[in-house]
Amino acid sequence: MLYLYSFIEIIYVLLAAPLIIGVQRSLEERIESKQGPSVLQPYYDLAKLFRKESIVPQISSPVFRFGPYAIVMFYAFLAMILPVITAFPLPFAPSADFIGGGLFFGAAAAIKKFSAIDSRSNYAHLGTSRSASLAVFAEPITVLIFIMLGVISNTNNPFVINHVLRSSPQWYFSLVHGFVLAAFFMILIVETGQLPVESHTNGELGMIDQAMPFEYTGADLAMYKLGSYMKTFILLSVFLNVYILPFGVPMESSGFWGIIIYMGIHLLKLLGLIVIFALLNTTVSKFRLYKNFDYLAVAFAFAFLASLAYYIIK
Amino acid sequence: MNQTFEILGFLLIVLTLVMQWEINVQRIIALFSASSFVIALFLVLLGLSRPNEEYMLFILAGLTIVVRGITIPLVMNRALNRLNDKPWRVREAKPLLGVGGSILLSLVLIAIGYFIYQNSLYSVLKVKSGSVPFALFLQASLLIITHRHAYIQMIGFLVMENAVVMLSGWVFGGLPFIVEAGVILDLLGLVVVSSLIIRVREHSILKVGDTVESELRG
Repeated sequence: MLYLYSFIEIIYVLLAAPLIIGVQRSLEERIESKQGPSVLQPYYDLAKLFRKESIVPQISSPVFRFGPYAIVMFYAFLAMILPVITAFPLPFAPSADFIGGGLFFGAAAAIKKFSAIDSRSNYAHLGTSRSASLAVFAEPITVLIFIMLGVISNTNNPFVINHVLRSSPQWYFSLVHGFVLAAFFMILIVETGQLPVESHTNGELGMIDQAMPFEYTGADLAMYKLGSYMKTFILLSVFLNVYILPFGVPMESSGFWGIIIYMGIHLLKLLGLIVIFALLNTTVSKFRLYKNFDYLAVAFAFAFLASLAYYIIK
Repeated sequence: MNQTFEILGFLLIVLTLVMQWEINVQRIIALFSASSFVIALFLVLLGLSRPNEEYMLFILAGLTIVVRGITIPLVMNRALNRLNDKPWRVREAKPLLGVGGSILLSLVLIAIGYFIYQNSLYSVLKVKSGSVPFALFLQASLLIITHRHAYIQMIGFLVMENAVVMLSGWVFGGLPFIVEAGVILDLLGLVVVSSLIIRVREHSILKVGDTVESELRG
C-alpha cells in the first residue's frame, strides 16, 4: 500500500504542479483587470512543446540534451521523500533527511546550470552567473533554517519536524519558529522566482531564470519547464506541510481516502499561498539586481535571529 | 508573560534593523515612533505583571506614548518640514556602510550583546533574555556611527534611550518613578534643543556656503 501512496504522490505532483502555476498567472492578470490566460494554459504549453521538434546547438554536449530529463527525475524523487500528501514516511523517505533533500535540490540546480552553460549562449551564461551568485548566499540561509528546525526537533527528518510543530504549541508559537518562517518565506521568493527578486519578463537587466533555457526548444524545453513547476510545487508544499500549516496532514491511520481528501485540502492551502504571491507580484516592484543581495542579508538576519532567539529563550 | 516580553524585545531589534536598512529620514522617524509604542506596550504589560507598582508603570507608558511616540516625531517632522521644501525626499545620501554590510554588522553586535550579558550580568540578575536591551543599545550605537545625517543620529540616540528604559524596567525592576519620568521628559527638552541647533546650523551653512560646512566636518 505504501508503494501505491508513493506512486499517487508522484502522479499528483506531476499533474498538479502546472495547475498551480496556471492559477497564479491567471490570478495576477485578473488583479490587474485583464482577462488573463486560462488556468490550464501551462498544460496547453507543455502539450504543444512535447509535440514539437527539439533543436540542439551544434557545439553543445549531451549534458545539454539530458539535463532537463535529469532535473525532472530529481524532483520526482524529491516528491517521494518529502511530506507532500502524507505526514508519515513513504518507502523511499529513509534515503534522505532534510539536509539530504536540500542536497538533492542543490544537485538539480547544479545540473540546470551546467546544461544552461552547455548551450554556449551568452544569455544562458548571464542567467547562470546571476542565479549562481544568488544561490551562493541563499543556500547557507536554507541550511541554517533546516538546522534551526533540527535543533527544535532534535532530528533532521521533515516528518518528525511536522509532528513536533503540530503537537507542541510552545514551539509552533515560539519566536524561533516565527523567525524561521520569515526567513524561509523570503528564501521561497528567491527560489521560486517571485517579485521583488525576479520578474517573469525577458528584460535583460534583471532576468535570472528566464535567461537560462534560451536555447531549449520542443520536448526538452517542456521537460525544463515541468522541472521548474515541480520545484515550485514541492517547495511550497514543504513550506505549508512542515513549517506554516503542519496540521491535518494525513497519518497512516487516515487510510487511502483520507489521503485522497487531503489532496484537495492541500490544493486549497497552496491556493492561499499563491494568492499571496500573486498580490506580491502585482504590487511590489522589482529590486535592482544588486539590491537582491541586501534582500538576502535580511533573510539571513531572520535566520540568524532564530538561532539567537533559541539560545536566549532556552 | 515572559514570552510576550521576549517577542516585544525581538520586535524592537527587528525595527532597529529596519532603521539600519532604511535611508529615508521621515520613515526612520515613523519607525522610531512605532518602536516607542512597542516600549509603551511593554510597560503596560510589565504593569499588569507587577501589581504593586502598576499605576506608576501605566503613567510611564502614557508618558512614553505622548512624549516618544507622538510629540518627538511630531517636533522632528515639523523641523524637517521647515528646513526642506520636499521633506519626504530627505535621506541619508551616502551611508558609510552598505545595507547588507550594516545588517550583518548589526547581527554581530546582537551576538556580542548576548555574550557580554551572558558572561557578566546574567550571573547576578538571572533574567534569561536580559541581553535583548544590550543588543538594542549596541544596534543604536551602530545607527549613530554609520549615519551622517543629524536627524538619524538623534534617532539613534533616542533608540539608545529606549533600550535603557527597557533594561531598567525589565531587568532591574522598578526604578523610582520620578527618575524614569524625568528621563522621558528630559528627552523632550533634548529634542527641542537639538532641533534648534540643527536648524541654526543649517541656516548658517546656507548663508555662509559649502566651504564652512566642509571645514566643520573636519
